[in-house]
Amino acid sequence: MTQQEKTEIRQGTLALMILKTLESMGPLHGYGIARRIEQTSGEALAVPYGTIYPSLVKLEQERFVASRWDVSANNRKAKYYMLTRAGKKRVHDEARLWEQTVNIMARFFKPGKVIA
Amino acid sequence: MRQIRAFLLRLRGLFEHSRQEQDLTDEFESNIAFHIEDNLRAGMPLEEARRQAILRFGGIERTKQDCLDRRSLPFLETFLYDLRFGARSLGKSRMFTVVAVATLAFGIGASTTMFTVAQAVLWRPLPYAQPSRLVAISEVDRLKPSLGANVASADFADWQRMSTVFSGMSAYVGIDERGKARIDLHLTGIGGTRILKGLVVSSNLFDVLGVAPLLGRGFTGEDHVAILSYNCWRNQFAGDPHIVGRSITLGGVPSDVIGVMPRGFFFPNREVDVFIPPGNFTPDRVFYDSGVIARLRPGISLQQARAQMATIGARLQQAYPKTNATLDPQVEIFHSAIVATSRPALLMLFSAVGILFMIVCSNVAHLQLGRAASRVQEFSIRKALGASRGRLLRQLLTESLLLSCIGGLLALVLARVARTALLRFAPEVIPSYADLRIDTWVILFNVAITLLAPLLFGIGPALSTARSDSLRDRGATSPHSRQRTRGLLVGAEVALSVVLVVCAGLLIHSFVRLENVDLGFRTAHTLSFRLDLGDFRVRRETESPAVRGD
Repeated sequence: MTQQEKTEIRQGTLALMILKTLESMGPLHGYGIARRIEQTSGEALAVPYGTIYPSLVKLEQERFVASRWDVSANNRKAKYYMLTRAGKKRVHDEARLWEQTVNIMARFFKPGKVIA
Repeated sequence: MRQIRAFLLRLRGLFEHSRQEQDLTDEFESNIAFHIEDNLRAGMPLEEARRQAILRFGGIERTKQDCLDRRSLPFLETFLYDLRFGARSLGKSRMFTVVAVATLAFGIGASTTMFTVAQAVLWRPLPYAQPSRLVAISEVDRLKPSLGANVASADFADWQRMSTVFSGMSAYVGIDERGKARIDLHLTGIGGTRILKGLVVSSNLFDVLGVAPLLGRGFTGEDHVAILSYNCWRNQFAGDPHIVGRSITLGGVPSDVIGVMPRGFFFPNREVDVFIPPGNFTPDRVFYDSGVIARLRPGISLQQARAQMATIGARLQQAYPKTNATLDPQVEIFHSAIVATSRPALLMLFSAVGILFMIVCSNVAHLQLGRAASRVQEFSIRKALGASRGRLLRQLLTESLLLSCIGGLLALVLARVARTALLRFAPEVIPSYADLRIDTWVILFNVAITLLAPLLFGIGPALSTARSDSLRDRGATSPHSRQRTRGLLVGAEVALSVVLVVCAGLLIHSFVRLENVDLGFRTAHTLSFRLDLGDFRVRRETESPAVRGD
């Protein structure tokens, strides 16, 4: 059960990372997304590249991303993912939520600076 | 909304399995190819580049399965798989399948038929406006409460005058104590004589019922007019569109047809073909032959109506001590009143069919246990190969469900046949207002019971099969637990059968007693017959010695 919960949480954040990556990079194929997440996290996240695909399927079903087959710069066929309008909105909402959470948590961990 | 769309997409995914798998394979290949290129650029040798790329990707097949699961509905997919497997496995043991399906069809069919009857007799609302506000009022003799409870016309007239709790009260004549239409009207002048069942009704009857005629109008107090039932109009007059205003000869008297009632309307049962007004007569307290129906005034409860009718009854008892001294008006919801006579018999039949259904289920459970014994090896191997108990249980239950569904479908056919047979051979059992129709509710019931049955007959055997342990106890003797389940089943079956046999015995006993009622005269070699003499004029004109009985 706890195992399940952990992957569940990780999947949630993974989806958010994917969305954020697509927002900053524009249309990108699966390998590109995985690579980018790895670099951005400073190689701290060493998840197998394959793990992002189930998340991509879910995001696509929920219409936060769209996909189409295209040809890459070095002339290789690849499936490109891009944000939809709903996806952009989701990134915004989630980012705000994250900031809020982080702020609140920060106050707990710095007890000296409680606002009177 | 998003969830629903995702669900629909996944539902579609069930049927596009291979196409989606190809799509994923292509995508993963392109991913790895990109990775290899990058690795080569970083200076790795080709073999190493490929190895690293595949390693970094993680389990390809597992990822693919995760994606496919996500794209379709694994639960449903397993179910469809189990269904296919179940069908194949049932096809292999044909004898078992035939017997089990036939047994189930019989049990579910009997239950469905019973429900059809209950629906028609007890539950389907009567075709009147707000039928639950309609009451039947009868006159019960305190000294002989079991005798026919019809009303004298003069009492009806007094009730109608004195009561204030009803928005309308109406009387009808022509129904005997068994609820059958008893007035035969000879329809002549259409080339031959036909016998129609007539009902004499107060002119406000259709207003009280809240039903307007389909064609023409209702009664307005005139005599020598008639209103036809829809069926009578279709069958006797070929649905003549100009029927209103046409003159027909009923019982030798010319009557104008002034209306036709809508389809599906009946009062108080489906036998009545033609409604006629009472004509001129003086109310009396001699003939107790009227049925009375009334509509509760809005806001008046049944209790209030009963209270007022009791008061009126008491006043009539004082006013007419000779005839009314022991008579009490009795107010009953109309539907309950017409159901009252058949309710006990129906309840008994229900319980009998319920028991029958239990026996059917335990029988099929028994059959399944027998079959499970011969499948021990199959399940042991599957378990040894890693199938979980829950998985086996699920598969066995799916198989049971399949059996039950085939049985349930056949049961619907059986119920249709049984319905025809009931109407044909036992019309007396079914009150004549009931329309035995297989409607949506009946089908829903059939589906519900079809889904319930596998839980009754499937869970026990499935549990005991799935529990049986690995390859170890694969011996000639069946495991202890299965024997216990079996013992329980046999016990329950015997107990239920005994109850059913006793019920059937009692039923037959009372039938036999009815048949052997002593009529007080010798019935051997005695015939009874009826001779219809057509309309009255014919009788007068052909007064031959034979007719006069000389």
